[in-house]
Amino acid sequence: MNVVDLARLQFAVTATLHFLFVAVTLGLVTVVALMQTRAARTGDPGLRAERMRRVRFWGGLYVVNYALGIVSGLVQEFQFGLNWSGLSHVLGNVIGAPLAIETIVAFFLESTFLGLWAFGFKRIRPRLHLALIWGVTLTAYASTFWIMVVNGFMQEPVGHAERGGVARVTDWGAILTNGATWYAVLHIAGAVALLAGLILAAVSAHHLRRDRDIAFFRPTLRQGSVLAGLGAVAVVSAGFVSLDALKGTQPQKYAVLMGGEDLEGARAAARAAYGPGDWMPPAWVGHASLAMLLIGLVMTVLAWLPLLALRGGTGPAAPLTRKRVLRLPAVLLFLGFAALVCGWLSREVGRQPWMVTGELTVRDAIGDVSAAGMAFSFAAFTLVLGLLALVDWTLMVRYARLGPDAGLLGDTDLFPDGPDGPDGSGGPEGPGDDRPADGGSRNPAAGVPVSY
Amino acid sequence: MDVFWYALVGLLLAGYLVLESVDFGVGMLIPFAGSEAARVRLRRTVVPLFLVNEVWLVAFGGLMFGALPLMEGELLHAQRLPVVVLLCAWFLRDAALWFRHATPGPAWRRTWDTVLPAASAVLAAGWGAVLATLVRGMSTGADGRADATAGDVFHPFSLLCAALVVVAAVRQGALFAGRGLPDGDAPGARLGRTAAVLTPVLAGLLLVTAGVGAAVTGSPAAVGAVTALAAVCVVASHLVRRAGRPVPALLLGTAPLLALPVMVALAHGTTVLATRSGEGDLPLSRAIADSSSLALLSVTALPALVAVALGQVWIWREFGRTAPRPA
Repeated sequence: MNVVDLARLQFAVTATLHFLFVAVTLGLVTVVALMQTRAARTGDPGLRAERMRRVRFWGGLYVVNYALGIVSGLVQEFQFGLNWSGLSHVLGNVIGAPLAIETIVAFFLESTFLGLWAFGFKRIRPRLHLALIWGVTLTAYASTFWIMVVNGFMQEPVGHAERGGVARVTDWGAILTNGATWYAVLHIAGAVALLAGLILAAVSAHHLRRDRDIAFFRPTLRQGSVLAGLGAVAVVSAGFVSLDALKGTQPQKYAVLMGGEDLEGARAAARAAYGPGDWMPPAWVGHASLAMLLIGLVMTVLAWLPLLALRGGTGPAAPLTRKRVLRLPAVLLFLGFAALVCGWLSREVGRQPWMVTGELTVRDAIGDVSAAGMAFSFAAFTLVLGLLALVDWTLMVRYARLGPDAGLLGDTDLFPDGPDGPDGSGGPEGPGDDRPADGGSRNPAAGVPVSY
Repeated sequence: MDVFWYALVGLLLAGYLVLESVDFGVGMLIPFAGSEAARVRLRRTVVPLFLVNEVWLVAFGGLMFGALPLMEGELLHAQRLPVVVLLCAWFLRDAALWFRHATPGPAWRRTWDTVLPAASAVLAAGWGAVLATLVRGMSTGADGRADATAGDVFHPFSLLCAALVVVAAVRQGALFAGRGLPDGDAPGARLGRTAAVLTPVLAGLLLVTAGVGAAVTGSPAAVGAVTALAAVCVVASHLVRRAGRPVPALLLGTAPLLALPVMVALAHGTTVLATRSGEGDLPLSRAIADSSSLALLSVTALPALVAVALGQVWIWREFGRTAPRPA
């Protein structure tokens, strides 16, 4: 395996991990912000406390997930300079500014807001606290946008001119309105809605199947299924639009994704444009793309089915009678993650052999790094991030299964129980009568001394 | 204007060192906490803050990429191995802080209680060594580009700076975790003793660094003056702490950490990456982005930095104090 392969593999492993966690982050933060908005607009103190309890539970899941999102994002930021310095040498002027804005406008602000929100349940006035979660949400989407500006440029380079071997920006308007950016942003927005919906539905279904916390999880099963269904429709529609746009901008990728009809024509056209050589992405990308497409289409139908379990109930806290369909969301969630990875592969491996389509090949973008150096960073990042991702995912599953009374992984600092707001103006804590009798024993915080 | 962007990038790095040193220090103090209760309390002092502290480095990397794209590529090329190690230590440190309380088992906690101080020590020492190679100037690689070789990273001056950051960070951590604790509090008294013991160690290290730095770097006057000044600040920090003013003590205690980026700037001016031979130097004029990129950054990143500054002041006011407002 040579340096380029190792560098690509390193990027693929770390970016895939990052994307899996970030997609969940984006979807969940939106859901949590909406939940908190609803709670804040609730007049009845008891109902409001119950709704804030939902914010704490789903917010907790979001925060555990965020931990890995941030850690894996750090590798991405530094990886360009570490391995792909050819990119900053040739196109630093174009992609540097959007990445800088992403880190400052989004990352820096987002983390600050998130810190204040996650630890501020008791310290910050409810209205301001609500504004904070919306701040986190908006900066998270801003982050996505600026990253996709860079990615869109790599797919379809616009608005720049080369002078002396170095690209200079001639038209920021063209770069910021790049179709390759916006179609992808919409596609991702649909995908994160789908994933967030599936997570809501899957976790809720897990508890509803066991007749636990029925009143707590019934609404989120409904909301999750609807969100997943709408997200599936959105992601498939945006996917078709962006696939169609490839015809003009990345004909080689289009030919491979569409599975071979015009493969030879595209190959000849690339040769005519770029000179002798193979300018086609690997054929297996077509299979990844097909898998994504099929999963997407299936989701548009199946994502709605868990709603059937909610029909014919006798009350908000009564056990559900049609439980068979409740096994579905977890399966769909797994398929959703698979489709996410397939989509990433279609877009980025479909760009090969280019780093920036028609401008800079991956081979030329690689920095001057020894094979041993590349193997070391690949092994180190894969090992550390892989391990942490595994731990984080295990913790998320554990936390989700423990349910709303476990507290955030036993961490008494995060999301402290009790009244919200600095002076308890958030109203009394929710009704305690619907808590399971064994709530204490399932509470991992039980053994932690908390009185300092 | 080029210097403004370079200075802003430097400011973000300085902010990172100053703020994260507290987290590094608290992390390294964990093994010295006598009880589970003391460890829980130590961790709790930094948990709401470390995320907003570490993003200063993210902003540093990002702004460097945007405003000085060539510097980013050349710096990470030259410092490749240290950077990979620092990043891995960073992930593990974060994981240790996030995950320590995730499951109740004692073995689980012991694991993270080992990871946290180890990763924090690697981070503190690593930053000291990396910055020292920048102060001293790096070697020139076979390809004519700047390269921080093992000889540079483990040079006596680098090792001294590594020790300097470690000791300064532990002292800051002790000051931060120990501030505002009642007089009779045993762990608080212990933290106070730690800070007191480290004061002469740190001042001594700074004076040795001043001497060695004057001998082995290209700008003896700057290195000597900055480190000597930092030693004075450390002593002053000790005196104001004894006078019962923890916040000025903490601020003065940042001097040894600030000294490193200040030395880089004073020693090399607008040569943003310096080698000892001069071959492979990167001048600011070559590293700076084109005017169109800088214009975009001016209208987006600068206002955002103001917003971030306000947010950071808010979060430190909210969580930096010793106890939450009574609920």
